[in-house]
Amino acid sequence: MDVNGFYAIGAALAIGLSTLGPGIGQGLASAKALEGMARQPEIIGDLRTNMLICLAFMEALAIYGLVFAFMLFGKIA
Amino acid sequence: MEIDFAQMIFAITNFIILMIAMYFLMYKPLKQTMDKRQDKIKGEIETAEQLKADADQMKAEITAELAKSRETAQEIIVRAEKTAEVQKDEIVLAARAEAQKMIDKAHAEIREEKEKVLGEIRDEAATLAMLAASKLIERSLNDTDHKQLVDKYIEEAGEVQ
Amino acid sequence: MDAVMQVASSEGVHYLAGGHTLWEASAYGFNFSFTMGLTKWMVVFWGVMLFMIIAGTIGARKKALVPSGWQNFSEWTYGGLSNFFSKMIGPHLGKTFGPLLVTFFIFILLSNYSGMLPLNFSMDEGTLSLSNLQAPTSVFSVTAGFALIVFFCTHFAGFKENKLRYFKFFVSPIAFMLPFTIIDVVIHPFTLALRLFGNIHGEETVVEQLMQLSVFVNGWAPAIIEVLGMLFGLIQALIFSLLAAIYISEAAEHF
Repeated sequence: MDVNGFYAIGAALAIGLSTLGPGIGQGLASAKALEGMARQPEIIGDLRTNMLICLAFMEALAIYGLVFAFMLFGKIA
Repeated sequence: MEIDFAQMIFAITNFIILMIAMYFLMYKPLKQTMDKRQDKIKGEIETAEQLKADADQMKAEITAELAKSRETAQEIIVRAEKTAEVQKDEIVLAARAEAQKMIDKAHAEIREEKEKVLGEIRDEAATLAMLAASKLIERSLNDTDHKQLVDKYIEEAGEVQ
Repeated sequence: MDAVMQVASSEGVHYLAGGHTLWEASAYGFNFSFTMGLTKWMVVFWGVMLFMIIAGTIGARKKALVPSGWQNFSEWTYGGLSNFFSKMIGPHLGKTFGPLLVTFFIFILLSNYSGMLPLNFSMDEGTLSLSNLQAPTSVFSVTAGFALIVFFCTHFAGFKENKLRYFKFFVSPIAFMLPFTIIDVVIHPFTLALRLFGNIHGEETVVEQLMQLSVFVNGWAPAIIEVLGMLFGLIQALIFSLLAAIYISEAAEHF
């Protein structure tokens, strides 16, 4: 079998699987943050900044997958 | 994943140049402008507060002054009223005294007049009586004697009265 | 396979001038190289730089006491960002690193947005075609360079604030923690670079792929992604500078 096909499947799996966990995590985090914002509208600014930082840390995981997908793409001859 | 160190050096040096340029061309002048404005606004707020404090003090002074003058005016009015009362009393008293005096004088005059009139009437009566008596007794008497006599009678008559 | 080939070809760097490789190495899937040459994104980089400097100079030139127009906008931008970062890392550090963070934010934001300008002229077999510019931030070398600046600033701040006590942090509870803290120190700027690169490059790749699809009316499908890209560009610029600020303040406040 053509090795390029394996690279393509690997890239797709890398980005596809790596988005699962961060997707769930970001959903939970933003849900809680929105709940907090709704309860205490006076600290919306602080919550938003902290939420963005948390989301950025979670997003890094998905980005690792994306980077690996790019690397595998680059290997396709 | 390609990492090109030449490109990395390009990015780093250009970014540092950009940062320095932005610092001297934008951030520093903007900060100076903003600081100057802040200082000015702060100074103006302080001035306004000073003015307000002055105005408040002046207002308090004026209020106190007003209260004092009102008090003074009240005092003056009270004093004037008292004076007027006293004066009124004096005037009334004086008028009453004057009236009394006039009444007394009138009484005295009346009495005097009465005396005078009575004296005249007495003289007249004496003369008439003397005339009548001389006519009756046909005898001319010494005028002085007559008069004495008549006066004596009249006095007697007055006492009897 | 056609689309995959397109992505693969977009990985290659096209040089406008120069382009001779002086050194090359490869390890763990990374291709290291040292190539002298002018690429298209370097021109975009200079364009963004020039725009920032000209716009900033015009904004700061007029020193009106009552700001209006462009001056007002520049003051709002600079004042707002500088206050935001100063509040985050403290006024003392903010004085030193405020300009760096503000420049990071503005530059990354404008770079991200520059990737949406369809100003990339190219001659393809005699026909002139237009495509989106390549944003400087979608090149890993650039984001790695930025992360390197953050890395040095972080340890400079830590060393400046704590002097030699700063090195005690690496073995802080027990010496056993040393490998982990070193991994932490390396990983922080690495993720910083990867996050920015991945987001912007990913977004650009998606737009490029949608451009290739003839299923949609050409231009409309990418436009929807680009609206999202506007939001992502802002958030990524904010997150890069925010995380840089957090790393700097963390390093400075150890003891």
